[in-house]
Amino acid sequence: MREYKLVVLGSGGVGKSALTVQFVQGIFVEKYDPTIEDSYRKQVEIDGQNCMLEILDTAGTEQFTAMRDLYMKNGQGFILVYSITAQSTFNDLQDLKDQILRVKDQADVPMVLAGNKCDLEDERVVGKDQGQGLANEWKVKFLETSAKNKVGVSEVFIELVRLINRKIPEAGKRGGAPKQCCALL
Amino acid sequence: MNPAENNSSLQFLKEFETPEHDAVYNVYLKKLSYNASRATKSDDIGVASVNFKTKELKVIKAGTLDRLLDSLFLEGGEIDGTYVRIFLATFRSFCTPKTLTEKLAQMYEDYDGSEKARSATFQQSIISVLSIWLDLYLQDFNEPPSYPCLQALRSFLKKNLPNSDLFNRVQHRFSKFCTDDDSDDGVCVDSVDCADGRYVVHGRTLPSPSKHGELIESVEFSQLNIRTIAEQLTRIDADLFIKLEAHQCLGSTWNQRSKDKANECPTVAATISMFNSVIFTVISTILKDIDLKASKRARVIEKWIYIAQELRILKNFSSLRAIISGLQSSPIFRLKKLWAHVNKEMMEIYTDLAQIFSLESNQIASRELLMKEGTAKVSTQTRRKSKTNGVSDAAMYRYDQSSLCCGTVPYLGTFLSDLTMVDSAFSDYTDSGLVNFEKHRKEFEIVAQINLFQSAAKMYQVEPHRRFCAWFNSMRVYTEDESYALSCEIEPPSTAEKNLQKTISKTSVTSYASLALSYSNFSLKSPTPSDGVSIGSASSDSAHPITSQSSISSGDSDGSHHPDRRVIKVTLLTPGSDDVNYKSMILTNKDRSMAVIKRVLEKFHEDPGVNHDPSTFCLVQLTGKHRELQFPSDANVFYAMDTTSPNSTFLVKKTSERTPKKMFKTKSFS
Repeated sequence: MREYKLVVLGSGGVGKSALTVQFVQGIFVEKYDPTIEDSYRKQVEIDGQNCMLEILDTAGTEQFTAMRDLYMKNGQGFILVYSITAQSTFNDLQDLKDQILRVKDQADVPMVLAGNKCDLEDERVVGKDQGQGLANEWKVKFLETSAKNKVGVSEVFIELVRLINRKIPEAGKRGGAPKQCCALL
Repeated sequence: MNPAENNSSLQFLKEFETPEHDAVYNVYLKKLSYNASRATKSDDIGVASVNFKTKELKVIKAGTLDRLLDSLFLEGGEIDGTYVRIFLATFRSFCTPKTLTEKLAQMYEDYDGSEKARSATFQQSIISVLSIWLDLYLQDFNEPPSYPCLQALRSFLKKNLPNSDLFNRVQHRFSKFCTDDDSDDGVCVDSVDCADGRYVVHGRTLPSPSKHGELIESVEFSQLNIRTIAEQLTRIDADLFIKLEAHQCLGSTWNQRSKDKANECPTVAATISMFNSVIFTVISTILKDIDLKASKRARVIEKWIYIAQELRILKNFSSLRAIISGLQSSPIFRLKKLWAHVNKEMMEIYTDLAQIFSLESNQIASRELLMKEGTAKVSTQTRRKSKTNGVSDAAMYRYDQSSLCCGTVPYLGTFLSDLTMVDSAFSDYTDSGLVNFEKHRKEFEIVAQINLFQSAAKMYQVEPHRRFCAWFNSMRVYTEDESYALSCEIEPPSTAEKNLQKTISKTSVTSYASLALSYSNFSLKSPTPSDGVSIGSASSDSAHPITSQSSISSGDSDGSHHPDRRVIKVTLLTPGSDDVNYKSMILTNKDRSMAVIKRVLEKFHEDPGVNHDPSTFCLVQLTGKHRELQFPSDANVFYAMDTTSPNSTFLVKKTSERTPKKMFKTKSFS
């Protein structure tokens, strides 16, 4: 089964952790334990293939600014999250995206832009068109999400996996990832 | 299997909601065994002979504040110790300290039970709770200027227990708070103060002038030994960690989008500042000297790996992780030629240490290691190749026998992350509006671990080291942009990297808003600026843009800001010498000519004792064939400079001196 390392990034308080927990735990939140090995691992079937997603969530450690490089280096795909109720969280993303490109040393990195907390329509300050505009500029996929109302949550992760698949087709088809082949022996 | 081990197991019986719908309990059956000692003789007989009795146990899951308060006390009126601790660690998200004080006072006064004995026990228990609270969370009562919570507690005790021990303590505390009003509370880090090993609050408490009036001696990284650096980092980390108020790590406090985390969670912010500062120090020691040969620069990396190894033995996982992260940061990591010069054995040690912090499987490696060693007396790690490292076995033995090895400092980020996730996963209130106390039990599992490691951190005994502090406090650190620019100077970017740079629309890389926290506390580690030629004025100037940038994130909605720094080449004109030696330096949009001149003089004169009066020098930019642009001494060089010029070569010369023609023809002027 192919493994995917996905990193969730964004300013503090945008609800990154809620997205991750919602996706990984679904309705079984009662049993949630953040400290165990497979807290952030989830197996899903995407386009007929079984995938193992391992999610790296930076929630709570945003202020450890110098650690970001490390998270970025470890990820294959990125979900950049802002809150539609806070303009600053939207503005912060450009820098994060640039940093990802630099750390990955690639111009084309699988990324999805997520405008979270779309259940709080009354408090909205970042328009949907603004989110879409930025996504067009970056040429990435854009979704509005609500971890609370379970809107768009799985879609964000699944969309990202598809992007990774498109960019790096499964090992073997292109002769990539010889390590995995060795592991079978 | 010994059945005695199982006798405390709880069997879930039912969920029970009060008729008033103001609380939900889990009811368990608790098996209690007696005659358990006989069980050990033989398993067969043991199992047969153990007798059990059962008891129903009510554990509150959710409730109103009043019901949660009731749970502080057992049926007989005694306190429920475990519950009291969980409650006191987590109540701030549903009740203010002042309300809690008033509620407890109310309960005390209202309880005029008919059963005299139980009444006395109950009232004594309330006093115990207050007393534990005061012991563990003193900062709850530190609310200058009027101290409403402490006031409320004082008047309650004055009325009901004027002769009690607790009343005296509260009185004492009250006068102490009032007199200490302006002094530091010892949690924020600005600079490391050697004299008494305490930390001062940035910009607020200035230590007595006698201590800081003395000459700041200039200490280089190369002059400090590995042990000293590792021990001193551990001293600071441990001290900050001990002072950490674990409840500030809770998601409800820490995870808020507030920009003012430094004020709301000062103890957490201080620890993070220190951590970031170590990373930035690692990076700047490696990049600082642009002209250093790769083989020499590799020695700097190796020295950090040695220090990391010492930290591993000291079980200081905080600075250990910071060093590893510093070495893995892009400005250092991308220097392929440099890494090729690092000794193979050192590379192995480095790889092993880096493995600890692998992000694989929810950081299982570091979690397990911390669990295994966190509260153990010694580290399982010993120095590899101790002989080649120049450490004698005897020295190692002495070292390992010392009390140093008993302590532990964990990396705080993991706890912050876990607590944030718990905060997201569990709601604060149930659907019927009751406080979800289950959530707080989950949180307390993590808080209790932090507390456990805090007691482990107290085991270290390291004295402050004056020269280390002088070095650490005066070390000039770079922003991430500056580091990257320097890194590109050392090893020019590949074509691929250059193309990428074009894709990246701006030069800025990091969110300045989030950097502001670490920098406002830390990067201004400049010596006392009384010394006129000190680099202090220049470095603090260059750090300001970062602080001021923090306002951009809220005001600048289209997200476009301008690059506020660039790398320039400078040379110092030395009359009578044919040597034209260029050095690179970073120019920020706050740099005025005088500050630039001072820094150039510093760069070119290794001996700071040589007295150069910066005002007798001037700064010019060589803008083309035989043309130069001279800057007035107070000009903002960043904005005044000619950016259309194909390069940015600058010259510092005596005001009276003319620029020789050869300067315009140097090879770097393409």
